[in-house]
Amino acid sequence: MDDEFLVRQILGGNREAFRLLVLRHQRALFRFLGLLGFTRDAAEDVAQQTFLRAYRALASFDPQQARFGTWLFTIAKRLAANERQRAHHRREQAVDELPQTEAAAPAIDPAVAAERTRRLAAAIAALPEALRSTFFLSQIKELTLDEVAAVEGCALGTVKSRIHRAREQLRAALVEEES
Amino acid sequence: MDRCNETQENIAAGVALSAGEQRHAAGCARCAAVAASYSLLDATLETFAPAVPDGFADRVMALVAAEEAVPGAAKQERGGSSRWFERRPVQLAVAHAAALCAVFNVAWFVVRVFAADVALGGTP
Repeated sequence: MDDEFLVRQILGGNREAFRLLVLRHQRALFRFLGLLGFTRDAAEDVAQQTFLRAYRALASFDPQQARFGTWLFTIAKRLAANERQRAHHRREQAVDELPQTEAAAPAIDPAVAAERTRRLAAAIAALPEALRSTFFLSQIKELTLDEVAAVEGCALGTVKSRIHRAREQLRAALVEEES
Repeated sequence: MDRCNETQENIAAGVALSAGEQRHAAGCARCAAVAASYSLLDATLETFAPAVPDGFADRVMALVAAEEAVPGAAKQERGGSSRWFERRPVQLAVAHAAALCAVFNVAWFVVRVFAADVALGGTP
């Protein structure tokens, strides 16, 4: 049962089929928003709005143009950017603060793990927006690189280059301070 | 050296290594160090993903249902704004009910005071 089948079901009046789409994509969406620096509450707000917006616009979704996941993350990316701008204008700390982390990997000193997280959060915040968005879209493993290019509206080569640069900058931020 | 460059390029790009590159990385101290540093990055990034809150899908479906119950609600969105009363239909209903109760109680109190006043000496 692919996404496009579920979309047809929803458009045919089976609203509950939308729940399956939500369940299928929610984890990747939260992962994307978490990587962008949204706190859990802020991520939930944006994720809710993303799904709601998708539901409202479902009739305009064209499976010939893109997969549902690509279309959904295009919406999410736009809403996340809007929310970051609003938060910036409100001078709130909804984004760009330390994300709530899940349990750290075992056998790592919690203080060391927290320090790494802090350094990485700072390095992420310092990334140019285009690098950050492209890198995180690739990082969630939901989209192919071609689909990331479609969401970002750039060439595949640009996506690869941005991923490479983002990874290198983040790695350097982690490793240099530890060595 | 070319093998190192190729392997490290792929590690840096997050591309899956071929079997040959994996063998090379396992035996090359420099490539192994690069692989370890990127593994550390990937592991640390993993901790950034918030868990999906319990009941998230239910809340989305409630929003969808509420939206369908109000004709034209879909047209109310403007530039992605999300006002609290659009996102909290249940809380809004409870607030309305509470306000209604308060008005009813005040009216009931006024009626009772007025009725008692008339009964106790309102007549000349």
